[in-house]
Amino acid sequence: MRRAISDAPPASFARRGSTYLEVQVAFAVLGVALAGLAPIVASQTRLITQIENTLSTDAVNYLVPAQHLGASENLWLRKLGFDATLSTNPPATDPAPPTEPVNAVTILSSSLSLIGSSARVEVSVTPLDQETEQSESSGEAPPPDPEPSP
Amino acid sequence: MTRDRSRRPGFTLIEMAIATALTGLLGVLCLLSWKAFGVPAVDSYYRGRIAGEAIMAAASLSSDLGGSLPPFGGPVGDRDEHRLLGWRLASGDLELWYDGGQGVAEPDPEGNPSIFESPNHAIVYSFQNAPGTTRGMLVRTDSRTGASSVVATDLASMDAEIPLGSEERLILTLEFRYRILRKSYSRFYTFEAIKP
Repeated sequence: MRRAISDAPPASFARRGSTYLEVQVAFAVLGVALAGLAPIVASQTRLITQIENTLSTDAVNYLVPAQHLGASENLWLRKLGFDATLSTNPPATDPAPPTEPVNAVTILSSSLSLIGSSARVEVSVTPLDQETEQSESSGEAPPPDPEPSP
Repeated sequence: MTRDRSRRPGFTLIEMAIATALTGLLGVLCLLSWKAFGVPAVDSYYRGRIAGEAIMAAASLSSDLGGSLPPFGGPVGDRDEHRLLGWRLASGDLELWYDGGQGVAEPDPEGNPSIFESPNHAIVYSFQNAPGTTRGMLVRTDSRTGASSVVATDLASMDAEIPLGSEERLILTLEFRYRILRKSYSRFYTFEAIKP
């Protein structure tokens, strides 16, 4: 105990505190660092706004099936698994009326690529007024439309 | 006992008052900066998260309400096979019924056969709470496989409506909710589908 007291540094060697200027400089450096984060926050807010504008919270988001987009042939788009289109505009309530079919079309097999934009569909087309059946294959193209005359 | 003259003197009242005032000023500055930066940052985080969940729900609904639900191997059969036949509400759940590919069942006002029966199959959207939490989820269940998947979370309520006399329309309102500092915020997304 006595040794500890004798080893204590004299008052003149006591640790000096920070000056006001040093503290001010430290705060200034901290302020500059925090100000550097501001553009990140601003860009994040902009990005969030863009994401939010994808869907409207103020208006109704209509899910419009393909055949309400203007052509009766779009029934084949439905068949091939096209998603409903998201829109804030109301869909047409009277889609194009389907024309009288002259062929019976059946998809025998299909292969839709999820990565590219290619599709391979094998279809069977049978004229409704004939007994014979003909098969044909089509690659990289949608199936033929049954409505047009043969 | 003698008085120790080398003892470190205490703070004066003025020093304490100044230190307390400066500490209070620092606290006020911290609070203001939290309100200016912290709350908007947390708010934008939750808004982005809610928007993302709503987009996921919209993508799933777009896929199912496109008008056809082909089997997993891809679309086969004629044009009307596997098409969306109709929808109904059952116990608050939304059921979308598709042709099962075993003959097209047409809606029959006489009652037979019903489109809401096997061999047709259903996709069911239901509101459920996550196990052990109060967080709501939008769950999609495929009756063909029995598999369920969570479409969106942070859901507060799901309200489906089929307007009377206009059964070809379906209105679905999803309410998402988040909380910041005991204050809750809601965002409503309304979807309207038309029967293909």
